[in-house]
Amino acid sequence: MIRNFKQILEKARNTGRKKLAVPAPRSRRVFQLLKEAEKTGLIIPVPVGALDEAIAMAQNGDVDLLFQGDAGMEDFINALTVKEAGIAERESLSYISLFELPSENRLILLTDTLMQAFPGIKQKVLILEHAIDFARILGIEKPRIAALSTVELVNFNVPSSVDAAVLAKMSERRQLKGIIDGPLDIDCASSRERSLRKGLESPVAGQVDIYLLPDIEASYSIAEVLVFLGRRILAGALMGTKVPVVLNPRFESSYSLLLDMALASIRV
Amino acid sequence: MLIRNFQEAEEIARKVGPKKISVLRAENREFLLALKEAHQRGYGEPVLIGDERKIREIAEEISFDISKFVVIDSKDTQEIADRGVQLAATGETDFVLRGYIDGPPLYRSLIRVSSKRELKKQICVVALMQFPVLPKLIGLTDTGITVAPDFGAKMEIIKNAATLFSRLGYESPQVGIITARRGLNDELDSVSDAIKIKEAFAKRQFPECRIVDGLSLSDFFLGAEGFLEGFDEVDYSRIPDILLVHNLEFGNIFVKIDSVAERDFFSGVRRHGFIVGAGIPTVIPSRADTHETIITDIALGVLIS
Repeated sequence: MIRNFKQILEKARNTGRKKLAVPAPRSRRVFQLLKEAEKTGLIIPVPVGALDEAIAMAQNGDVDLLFQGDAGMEDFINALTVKEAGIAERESLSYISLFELPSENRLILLTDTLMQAFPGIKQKVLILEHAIDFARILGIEKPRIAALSTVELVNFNVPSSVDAAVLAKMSERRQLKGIIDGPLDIDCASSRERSLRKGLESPVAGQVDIYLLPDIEASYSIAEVLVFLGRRILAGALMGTKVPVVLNPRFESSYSLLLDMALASIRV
Repeated sequence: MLIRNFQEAEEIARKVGPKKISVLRAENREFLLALKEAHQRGYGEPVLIGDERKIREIAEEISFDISKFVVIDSKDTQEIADRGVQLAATGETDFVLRGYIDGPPLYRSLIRVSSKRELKKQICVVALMQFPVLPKLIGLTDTGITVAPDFGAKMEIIKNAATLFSRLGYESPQVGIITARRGLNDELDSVSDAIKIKEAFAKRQFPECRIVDGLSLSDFFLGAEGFLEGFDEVDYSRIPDILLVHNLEFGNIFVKIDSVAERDFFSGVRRHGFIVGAGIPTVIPSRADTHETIITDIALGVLIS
């Protein structure tokens, strides 16, 4: 099981260098990153003149990975999800942000921290399936998942609590592969003791591998809070693409992007 | 007397006190221990509302002489909240300290009192937070009452928070509006509300606070276009004083963010909550708080009343 970022880099290096297409690199950040990733033994950068050219190379299998590089986020996702590109559907994309918990020697995953704004229950199922697949790549066979809400009881005024309850039931019936509990608030999800104090006997409390966040306002901003106010490096993975794709979100440092490339490499 | 951390709050409260405190459901050991200490420090004296027999029992156990204080016997939660709020509304006490009661009955009492005084009815929770990486306290709002405030509600929430901060010594607090604007699928209610709020404040509808540029922590710390390089380059003094969250889904997680990694990267985070907007200073310790934390709540109550 992969328990920290160092192990991600090691595993990626062991799988060998991957060819990574990057459209029109021009910033210092991107050039330095490509240099570093090459030096580390992760990738062979393949700079390409135009965005659609890079996407075509990824689609044809000329490269193993695709990197957003200096392309704008909206442009890049649009180009990736037009039908002709054949790489992804916009509604099926999700993003996972990973953080290390050194005291417990393990990783936690937050999703969807970038792509879907207000996912409905069907999209949440897809987001979870992506995260469960991803957890398996890290060696977590049966991830424990908290479907977060503001409350622990189903409250029809709080849609995330209803979604969470449905997802928990689906997991109970083995329609989803992880162990999902919800609705849980963050306080209970992150501590068995606190959840017991509230009278909840939760199979995931205190051992959560995957936090499913209710909507983009919570998920994107919480990723930012962890990064800036927790001063933590994170790693990220875009899910739902036929070829592993590395994004360039602004709240990820160069080292985070290096980790993103490593994560993409082990998914090839 | 600008309060930059909770220790300062405790020191200044010694000079500002004593005040009178409505304590809602006081029959709790941690609360009574805190009130005993607060009284010794000169913060003030309580009016103890709740189960009188239990209150007197616990007070005796902890050797807290409450013979000089008013004790109001009641076991009905709504009545306890109403009595305590009413005492503060008539000036018999200076602020309300929530003891062991739920939020909703207290919200009801506060809204009733504020409607009678024809004050604005949008009450909200402001969480005052201390993060070790930040050079000052920040206020998050609304982290407790309205699930999905609209533009009008957000305007009132900002004004409420600014009023609280002015009591804490901030002359024109900076307000940052946090949204999920991230250069992708940005047609969000949070973003359109933020634009309207900025326009409204630009017309100086409320000069007591200032809305800062930017719509996310990335914007505040990295500017509109910047990318994170390393944390040494992040200027933490750029954090606004007050952060408005779009909805409770986010606010609720943000306010308890340290629970995710309290042994790792969020040790030392502290928080204290207030209900603002009813014109009745109200501090709301959380149920898990120990008496040490509740003493700080009381000190903050002294400062804002």
